[in-house]
Amino acid sequence: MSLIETEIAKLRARAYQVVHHVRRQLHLLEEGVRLREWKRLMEIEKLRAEALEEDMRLDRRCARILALHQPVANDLRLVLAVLRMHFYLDEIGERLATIGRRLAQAMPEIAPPAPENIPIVQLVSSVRRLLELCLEAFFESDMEKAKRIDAEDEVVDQAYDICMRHIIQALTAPLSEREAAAWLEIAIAVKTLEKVADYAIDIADASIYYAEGVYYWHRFARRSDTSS
Amino acid sequence: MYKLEAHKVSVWYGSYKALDEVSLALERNQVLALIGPSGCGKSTFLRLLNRMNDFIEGFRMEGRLLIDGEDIYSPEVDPVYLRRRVGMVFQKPTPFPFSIYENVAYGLRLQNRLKESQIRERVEQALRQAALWDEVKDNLKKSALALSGGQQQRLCIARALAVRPSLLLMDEPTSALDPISTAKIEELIHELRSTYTIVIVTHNMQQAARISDMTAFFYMGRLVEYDRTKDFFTNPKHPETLRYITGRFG
Repeated sequence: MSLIETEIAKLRARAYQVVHHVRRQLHLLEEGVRLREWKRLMEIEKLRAEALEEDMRLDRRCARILALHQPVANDLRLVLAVLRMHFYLDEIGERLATIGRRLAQAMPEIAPPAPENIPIVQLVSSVRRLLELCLEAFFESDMEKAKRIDAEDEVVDQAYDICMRHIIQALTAPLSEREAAAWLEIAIAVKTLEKVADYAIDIADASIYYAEGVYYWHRFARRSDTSS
Repeated sequence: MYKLEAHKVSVWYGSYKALDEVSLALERNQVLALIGPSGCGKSTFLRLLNRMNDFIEGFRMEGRLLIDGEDIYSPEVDPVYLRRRVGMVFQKPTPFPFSIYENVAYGLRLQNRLKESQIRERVEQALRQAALWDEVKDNLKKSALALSGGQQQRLCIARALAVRPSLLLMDEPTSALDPISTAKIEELIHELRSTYTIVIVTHNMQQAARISDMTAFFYMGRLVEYDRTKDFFTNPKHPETLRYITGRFG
């Protein structure tokens, strides 16, 4: 194995570690929401703190490869794609911590049976599936998966719409000030989950760049589809 | 019209086939980098462009090589006249043992019947183009051999530019230079692109990526890949190119 191959293998392993942390955060969110263990959601923030050290290691690894090995072609594209993926994972990690905090504080404030009615579990699960698909596409260089994410994203959009309808319905009913504030917190959390899905799609775009050397933006593609 | 065109160019040295049906076209005011492992044919291709291979025993060529639309291997073309139009800078600086001024003026005196005042003007212009004027303007009578390696190489470039070539060839022009001198030559190549078309052989792939518009990868006498440099180094099409530029060759 050449020096650059060794470095690239280490980079992939390091990137996988960063992914592992985000996966744990999302798993914890899904479990907490599903089991309605709202306090557990506060732990997501702790996992986030653990991930930061790994983030710095990944940054250093990328800088080291760029400075010492001057990669080109697919090696260069991998480093650039990892940096992009890293940025999106960082954003996802940060947002998951925020979502966990908001839900942990807001959910206990809402009078039952309303929480059971919000299909937030479905939304979290669909976001997790979408992220998994995008990460698999990245690490397996599976372009078919990367290009298939639209269907999974549609599921996220549907779950998001249902959640938002529930929230709007709840907000139109007579509520105490605390309850109204809690519902707003939930609305922000739901909106943030949708943003997490967007970042997941950006990771799929990065995987397409790595594998094929072309810039592809699902978001722009969808916008132009809509406009046409 | 392309500045340079090669149509199925093959070259033999005796029975050894050094180039195998190489075809490419280069626009004017572009820099073409020729890369590839030693013995791949890139220097052979470069030296075809000013017919330097003609001197090699057993040299034979097939195909067509056009500069400004003119077949430079047609019987009507005088190789000496061609070499006036195609300047060459070699791997190691090769200043003549004359003064700085005379090194640049030498070619002008050989080629043109210019007045001394015109020669002075052209020498200054060439030294300015080669980004050397400010460093030597007060010492033009100084021996060229007293210059540093990087300055000597820029002097050789000035010497080539003085006769206003149509095409400038560079055979690993920075391989014997330190990083600062190399950077100066690279900046110079970048500047010269606005006026000249340049073909450069380099073993330094980062250099090829930095300074060229087009890159050609040669291997075993074949032109494996020829593409815009930005595409060549980010998304090469051929597996052999990929292996070479990523250091996984052999």
